[in-house]
Amino acid sequence: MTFTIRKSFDQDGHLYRTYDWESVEGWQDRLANKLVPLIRELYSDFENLNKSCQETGLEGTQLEQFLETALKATIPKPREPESKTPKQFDVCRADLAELLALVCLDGLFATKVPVKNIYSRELNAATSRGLDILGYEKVGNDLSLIICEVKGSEDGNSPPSVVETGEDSLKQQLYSYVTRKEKTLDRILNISKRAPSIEDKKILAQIAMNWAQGAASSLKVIVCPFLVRKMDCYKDTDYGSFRTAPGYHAPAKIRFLIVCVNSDLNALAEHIYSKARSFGDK
Amino acid sequence: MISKKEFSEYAGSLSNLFESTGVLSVIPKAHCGYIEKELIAKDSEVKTIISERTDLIAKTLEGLASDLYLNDQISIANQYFDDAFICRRELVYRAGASTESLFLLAVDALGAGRSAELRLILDEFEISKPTLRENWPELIKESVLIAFLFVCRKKNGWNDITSAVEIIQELRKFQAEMETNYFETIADISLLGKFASASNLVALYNMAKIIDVTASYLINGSPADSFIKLRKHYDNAVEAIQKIGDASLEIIIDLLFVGSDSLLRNSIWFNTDTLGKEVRRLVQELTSSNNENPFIELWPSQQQALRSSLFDPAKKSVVLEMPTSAGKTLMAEFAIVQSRALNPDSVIVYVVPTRALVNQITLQLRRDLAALKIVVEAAVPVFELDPTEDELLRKSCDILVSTPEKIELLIRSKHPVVERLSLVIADEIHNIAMQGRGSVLELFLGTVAREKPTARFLLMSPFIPNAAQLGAWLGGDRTAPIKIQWKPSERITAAAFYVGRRPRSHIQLRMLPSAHNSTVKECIDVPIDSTIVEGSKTKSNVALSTAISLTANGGVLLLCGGRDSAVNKATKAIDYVPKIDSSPFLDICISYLKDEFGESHILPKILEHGVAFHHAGLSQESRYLIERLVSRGLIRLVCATTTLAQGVNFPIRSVVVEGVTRSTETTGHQKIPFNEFWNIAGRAGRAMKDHLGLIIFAARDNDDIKVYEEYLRGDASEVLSSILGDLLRIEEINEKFDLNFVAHYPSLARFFQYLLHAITISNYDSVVSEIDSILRSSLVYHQVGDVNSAHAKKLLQVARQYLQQVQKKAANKGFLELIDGTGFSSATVDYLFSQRDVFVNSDVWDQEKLFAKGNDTLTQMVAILSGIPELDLTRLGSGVLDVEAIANIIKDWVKGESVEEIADRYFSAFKDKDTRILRASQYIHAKLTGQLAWGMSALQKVSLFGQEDVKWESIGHTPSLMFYGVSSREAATLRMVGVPRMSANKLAEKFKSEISSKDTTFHDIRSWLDKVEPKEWGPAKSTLSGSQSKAIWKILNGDERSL
Repeated sequence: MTFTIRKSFDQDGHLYRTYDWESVEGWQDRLANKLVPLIRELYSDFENLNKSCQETGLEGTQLEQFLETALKATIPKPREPESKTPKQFDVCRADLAELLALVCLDGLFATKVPVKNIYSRELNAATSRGLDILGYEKVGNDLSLIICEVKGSEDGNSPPSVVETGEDSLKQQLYSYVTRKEKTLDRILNISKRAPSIEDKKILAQIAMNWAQGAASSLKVIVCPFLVRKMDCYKDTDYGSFRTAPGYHAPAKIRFLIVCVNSDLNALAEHIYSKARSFGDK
Repeated sequence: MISKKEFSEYAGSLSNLFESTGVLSVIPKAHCGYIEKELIAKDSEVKTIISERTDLIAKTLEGLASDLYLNDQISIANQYFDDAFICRRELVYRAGASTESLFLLAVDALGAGRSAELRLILDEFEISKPTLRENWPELIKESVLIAFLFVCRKKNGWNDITSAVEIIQELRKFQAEMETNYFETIADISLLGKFASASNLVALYNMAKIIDVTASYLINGSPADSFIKLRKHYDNAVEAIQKIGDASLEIIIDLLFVGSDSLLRNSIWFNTDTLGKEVRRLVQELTSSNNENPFIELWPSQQQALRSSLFDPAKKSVVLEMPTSAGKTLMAEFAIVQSRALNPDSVIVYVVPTRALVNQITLQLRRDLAALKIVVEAAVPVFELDPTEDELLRKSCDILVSTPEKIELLIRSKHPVVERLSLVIADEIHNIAMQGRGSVLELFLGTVAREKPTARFLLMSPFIPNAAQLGAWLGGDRTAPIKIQWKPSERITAAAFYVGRRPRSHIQLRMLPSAHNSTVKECIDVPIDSTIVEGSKTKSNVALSTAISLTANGGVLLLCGGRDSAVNKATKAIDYVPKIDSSPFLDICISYLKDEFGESHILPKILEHGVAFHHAGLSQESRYLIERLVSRGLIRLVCATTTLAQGVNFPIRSVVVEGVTRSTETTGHQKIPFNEFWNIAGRAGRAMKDHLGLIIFAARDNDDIKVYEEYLRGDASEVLSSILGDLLRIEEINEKFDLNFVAHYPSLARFFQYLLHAITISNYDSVVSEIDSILRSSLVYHQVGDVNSAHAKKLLQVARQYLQQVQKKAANKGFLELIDGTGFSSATVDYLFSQRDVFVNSDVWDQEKLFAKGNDTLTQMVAILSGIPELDLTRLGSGVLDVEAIANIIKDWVKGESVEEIADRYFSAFKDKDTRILRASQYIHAKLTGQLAWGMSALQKVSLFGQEDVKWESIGHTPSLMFYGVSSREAATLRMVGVPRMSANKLAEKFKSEISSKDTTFHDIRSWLDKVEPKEWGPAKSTLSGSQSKAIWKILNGDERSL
């Protein structure tokens, strides 16, 4: 098992768990082997996009040229060490955290994530900005919707600022998914439409109906803050108010997962994305 | 990858999921909230609370339905879009509308097949073209949504669609500049962020392109690959947006595709492109921008009919069951054009039940088919054939419109116009069950089926549960029953009752479930703005109060139990309904009615208040004008009897019902037959004008409400041959087939005429030997054979017995043809023959002598006619059948006396002048023109039978003079083309000297009239001016352009 549980503070149906990712020598390569195929699957080529732009028959648009430039970014480039962009805004670093969350939810909770997508965090006016992972768990007749938001942090403070400071924090984002019901519903319906199997479609349709029904439904909603932490930065208080005041996201239950890695996150992202961009590598 | 089969299973499983989650429980509430809001009094608050879940549930339904639609599960998607529409409609009206909410409502409506209702809703909101703004992606999205709304609304012909095209053109115009500005604003974001922004734009551009493709196709039906293009731009947009995971915009894109695809599928082009060159020519005409109301789309009912076997030439009979206002006539037009294309030299017969409908259908067909050079004529819907009309009908005619009686007469008399029949269109076919006239329709159709083996049938009706049986009767196994339930607007049934004590009482509505309407289960009682009419709390009083109260929101038809009730209610109503603004159309109708009924009569007076009554006692012209006034919204309340069911097809917002029984002269109180009731009530709710059609029952208390609930639980009954009723009543087979038999079994007597006709076509022996097969071609045999073979045997036995009785007559084929040509039973013709001695001299029939004062021949004739069981001359009011008075009425009527003069002279038993005039009008229009003219025609034929040198050209039109109330042959001819009675007499001389000749066609006469100066029309004994009279002629001919 690549995860080892370090701490657990479960209470009143809310889960607060911290895991360590294995750190035996060569662990970065083993992690890369796991994640690179996923990365390549998620970042598809953009040539069709260019074609569809041409088919609108618009003349004199700058889009074509714009796309040409953008094509080079098929798989994002890790942040250069000397870059002025703040570390936490590095796309690869954010994506890495999201990929770890997918692996973790699948491995530990058998969460089904029918449609995996890596979303731009910098799209202007993107209406469904955020909401990193939407999945479900079905045990017998019990159906749970998993709404997962992912962050990585090497912040020495506890809880780190990404947990509950500002609009972009795990706390506020997850709160908005629970309260801005129509946007989350759009996402559920969109995933239902794109679901690869009938089983997934049915369950997601059921989730959509239950979500629309609100309190009257039997759907269990779980908000899942997922934090990737540098091992030596972790503290038991990293859960912040998710643990001290869980009612904030009610009626949703909380499943706060922290995965600690024995590396600087940007360095780990650089390692893995370099491999992903190097097409010779398997 | 999900297979089609798997997806289909998934689609089917959704209903269980909806059931188990209880999501759809919000739908009836949303429905109620909307209905309550539509009906409720201004100072009351809607009690139904909008569920906070309504928006989310609508969204869920839209998301799942669009997925179904995209995967070809359209009929299931249709149900969920309908539910979503109900939610959105409530939200739009009660919680406010935005561009996006209207867009969602529009897609839901299109997905649910509610395009007519959608256009009406969108017309109520101000939709303006987008204004330029800095945020380029937002501007594109807003422009796309607004352009889509324009394409859906289709207001003012092509204007809205052109506006949609212009909006997209505007985007193109500003694209370069706006794009540059936009990219400058995002210059600082990461490359990936830029890429996402670009992807967003690609999606939006493809959305704009979807609008472009849709609007272009709606305008001219091209390019042919528009569906492919639509899908391509949709796929492109989705692919672009999925790169950036904007789920909300992706749902909008999905819905835009669903809406646009539906618009294309609804378009007249898409639905008619495989129907051949001639139909496409008709479509070009119907969609022409010169057309005031161009056809851009077909209703779902019409699409369904087209997808069914409506145009399958291999089908001998097609039975089309389609609700009122769902677009049957257009389907008939397509069928006509297709039939003409297959049989270019043939004639098509269009049979409708009333003269008013003959008029309406003729005008519509003439207008719509003019460019295809198809000649449409109407045969005057009476039992006889005037010599002039006979001549005129021998000229060019491609489509002949008339009543079954007239067409049957033409068939029986082997008139050339019906020689080459290729298609018989019979509208309101459920009338086949009607006592009296039903048998005529049945036997006419049976005759055509037997004698014109290549003719096909298109039978149409709003209610015909046994369509397959009727179709099989005429077409055997080559029949196609098509059942369509779509209605252009939603209809609800409710009971109205008083709440509270006067003077503070008000009217409250309680929804009643009904098999034929939206079922509203959870509605609370709704108070409405109320006007309470003085008087005791009777059903009649509640009905009138409710009808008056509802006039504020659109036209109301108050269905009354009888003629007097209709007149009384309309008269009373004007105390509560203020006068309406005058308008040229209303003014001219009022002038005409003043001329017909007298200056001070109540009918023109109440019209000034937008109130009218309508029953069989009015002239056809008056009824037609009232119906046109209702259609034009100039009458707010029309108090009518069930006669209206046979009138022209005009929808109205509300139908208020005083009770479900009616009184008749012969049977007293009886329950209104279900089919007849729904034929009237089905008019509630005008396409593109009313959100809700209301059918309201007046109730005093809960007991009344229970009676209505019970009545509404019923369903349309099977359309059974009216002859069947007579057959079942016969107890003894050894009946003597005399006048008494005709009086007791009128339908069966008519059935025997059918046998006689068969003999005239072949001969007696072959009819006797083939009696089985002849009977088989009748509906009655078809139906008794189905139900009980004992009845079939009885029919066979009765028929054989009848044939035995007429065996001797059969030797004289000429006499048989005489009987056949009169439209009366053989017993009646025998009776007339026995009385004819006095009238055998053709001089007797000279109009100068016959209608001269002091000549009592006419009195003798009326006395004889009063013994005919098929005629019901009844009394004039004095209690005694005064044949002399009747003869004098005829003379005055032919002389051109007004109804008022006739009333004063012969109906003085009625002290009240208005009542007197109405009684006189009833007698003239229901008895004199309807029956006496027919009887007189038969008596003339019988009297002059076998004589040589009869100058038919000078005496043959005598019955027509009675029918039209004019004094010359030329005036009668002018009446045939709709000239008002008084002007017909005035113009007759001019007509005779300028145009009347053997070669004159109906078209020539109409063209000539069009050119005659208004001053020439000015009737001598009339309050109508020449220009008013000419204007009335134009209205009666469907030309209302100048008004």
